[in-house]
Amino acid sequence: MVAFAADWPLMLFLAPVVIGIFIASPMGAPRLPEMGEARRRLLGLLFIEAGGFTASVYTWMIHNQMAATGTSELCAVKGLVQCGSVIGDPTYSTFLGLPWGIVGMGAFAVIGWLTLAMFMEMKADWAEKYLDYAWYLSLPGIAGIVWLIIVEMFLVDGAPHICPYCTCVHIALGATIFLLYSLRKNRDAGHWEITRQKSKEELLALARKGRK
Amino acid sequence: MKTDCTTRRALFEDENADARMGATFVISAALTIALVFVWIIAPPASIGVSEGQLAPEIIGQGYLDGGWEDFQLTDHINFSWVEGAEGQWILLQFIDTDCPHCWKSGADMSEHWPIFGDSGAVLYVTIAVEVVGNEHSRDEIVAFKEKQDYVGCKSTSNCENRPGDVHPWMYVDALNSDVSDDYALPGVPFELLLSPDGIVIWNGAQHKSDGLDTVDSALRHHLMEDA
Repeated sequence: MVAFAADWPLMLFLAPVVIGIFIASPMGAPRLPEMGEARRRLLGLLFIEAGGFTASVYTWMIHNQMAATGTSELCAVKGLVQCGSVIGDPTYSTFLGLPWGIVGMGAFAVIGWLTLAMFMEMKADWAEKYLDYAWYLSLPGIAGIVWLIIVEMFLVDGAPHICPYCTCVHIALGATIFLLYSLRKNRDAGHWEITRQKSKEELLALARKGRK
Repeated sequence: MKTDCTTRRALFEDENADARMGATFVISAALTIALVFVWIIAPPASIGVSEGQLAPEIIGQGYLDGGWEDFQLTDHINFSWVEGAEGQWILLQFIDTDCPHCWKSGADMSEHWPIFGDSGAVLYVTIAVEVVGNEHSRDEIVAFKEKQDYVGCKSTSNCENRPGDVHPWMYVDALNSDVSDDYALPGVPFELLLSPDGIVIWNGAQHKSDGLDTVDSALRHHLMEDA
């Protein structure tokens, strides 16, 4: 546990993911009282995607070091919780010749661009379509997560191994997919608010204030 | 006459393009920062077959001492090796058991093996690929290596007549692998000499007229003259 807490890069990548989940969850509503639910979830999504993006970049750096030197100073290369056997595996560390880190970085950059554009202009005619694009783009991530967990658990040399940075990316992607799903569901139900809808009491109070 | 200019007004009202442009700038900035970090801290390794590059990984099964066993090139690489230190060099030879020039090269390999390979100074590895024809098999690879009574080497010759001696080093089966593409084979036979840290020190295709165009001359130059 101490070693886990001392792993500051991992904490650095997990922090935005956790903050994003908090913002997007109902617990985030009192902290951002003026924001509509959809906008708050988009903000949370942006934090989560930032965490996934940076963790993916880090795994790419580990991959590069492993390929060049057979070891990495950025992550443990031995033990149950390590990156060496997973990211350094010559067979399973790439997808179509590209390191998984680049795949993750590209995926989070594209989905992040869609999310940021939506967040900046929710009322635009394309914004709701972009939500669909982001959702469809994220779906192959489910197969990616399942495959990479199988690789970690059963296929790499000396399996099982758990790669903490890969797991961070998996959590970020899983949370992204869930949030996109819930955003689409809410949008289809007619909830796509920029600001929070005020209650009758709040509207009355505002009206009285205006009269004075 | 008064005219209305609509262009300016449209820019103020149509903010869709601004949002997408803004998002593009932010994501581009994030990507740029990420790439700068990667290139400073851990740039991608230069992997390839040119001299000075790290040799691509080879994974497969190799035949040695009467049986097939797992082979992985990186298992034989000492990444922490520094120039001048002790270490085992690696000679990679790519052949096709049906190719006439590979057939002839069997004798050349047998000639320098006692000097460099038998002593352990150089790890000899022959990688059998499929370049000529398509009727290769593991039996043919073993017959080529061991000079067994098997018709099929050099297309229709008996493998026991291959020039040179029985080859006592490992032959790796890469008939159905991406090794040919990874190593961008210019033809066969093709040889590479790697330093103990896996860097290509000599690529036969890069030396045509400087006196280092044969494996023997390259081995002598790098292991004897340099020492």
